Amino acid sequence: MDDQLLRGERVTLTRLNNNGDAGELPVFSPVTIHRSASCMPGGVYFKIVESHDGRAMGVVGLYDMDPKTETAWLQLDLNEAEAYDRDHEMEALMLVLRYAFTELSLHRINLDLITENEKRIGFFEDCGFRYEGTQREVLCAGDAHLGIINMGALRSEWTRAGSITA
Amino acid sequence: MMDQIMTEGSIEISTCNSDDNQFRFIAQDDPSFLQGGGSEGSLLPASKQAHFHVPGDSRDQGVSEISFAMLEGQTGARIGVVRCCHSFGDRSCGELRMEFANAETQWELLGCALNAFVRFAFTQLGLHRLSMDLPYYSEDEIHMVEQAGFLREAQRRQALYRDGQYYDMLTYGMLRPDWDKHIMEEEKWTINCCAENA
Repeated sequence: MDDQLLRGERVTLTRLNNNGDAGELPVFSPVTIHRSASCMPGGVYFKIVESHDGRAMGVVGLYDMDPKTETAWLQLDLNEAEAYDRDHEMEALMLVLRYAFTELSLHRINLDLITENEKRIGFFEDCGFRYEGTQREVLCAGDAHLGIINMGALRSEWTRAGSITA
Repeated sequence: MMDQIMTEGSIEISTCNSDDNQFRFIAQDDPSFLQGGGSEGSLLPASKQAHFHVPGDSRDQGVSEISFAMLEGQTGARIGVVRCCHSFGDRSCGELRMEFANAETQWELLGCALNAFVRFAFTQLGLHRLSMDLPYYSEDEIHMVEQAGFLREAQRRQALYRDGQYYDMLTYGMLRPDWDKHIMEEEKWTINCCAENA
């Protein structure tokens, strides 16, 4: 597989960085929370491009990859100015999960969502993630505190076809 | 050099250097467990930073982690170190890591030390939330944090690898209102016990 380009029916993922450094990523609206800098920076980022008209849909990436535990964190930022159907977003996520589990041989992908985005839980569950809990009142937003939703996908539950084993 | 900042019961809490490595981390020896939480900015409000300044500490350069030594009050023996840093960069949330002097330490004493630090974090540091990640197999520590009033909020499946096997990682959290309620219940329980013994 050419890891510079991941092709799907609806979207194509183009590698943004080749040296493990996020560098200057295009700015889109964050869907997932990017955790603060940890002791294992770096990652793999792809621009999500609509296959037919070439429009940039967003960025998807894997960062904080830990070779010992074979885990990484998923980042997904989308262009909210354009309305895409769920199939486009799901295909982009499935492509990067396949890359993570087959090319990078990772064991687990972590994902954090802000509680305001809880309507996205079902979407990520359809992509192979499982809900694992909610950390209460972690982020301060004015007078309110928002929680963090923890989700995770395991290689053992993922199949190449994109379906999830029981 | 250490500055005593709080005494509760038989436990004394003092500042200490962040690079104090004399304690063995008994939750597990896997360095990957220590990752996460490091963010820019000091954990302490500016008004309190001078009070907690420790020689050799790099807090002045914007390091968020702050470490405290827990001492046994009568003997002065060091029980362990509590390290506290921001969660997700939010200044009102602290992520704890506890390192103990040895695995044979009395869990009752460690529980007292944790209670003392929680009280310190909510009343002196003014934090809104404390959290702690624990491996699923650390039964004694899990019991200790649950006794202290922490609630299990998340269970990351197979997030930890040790000795050829994957383990779940648990996230425990406590909010200031949780702690207020926990303290009220403990006081009510103490009053009832005293009334029964009278």
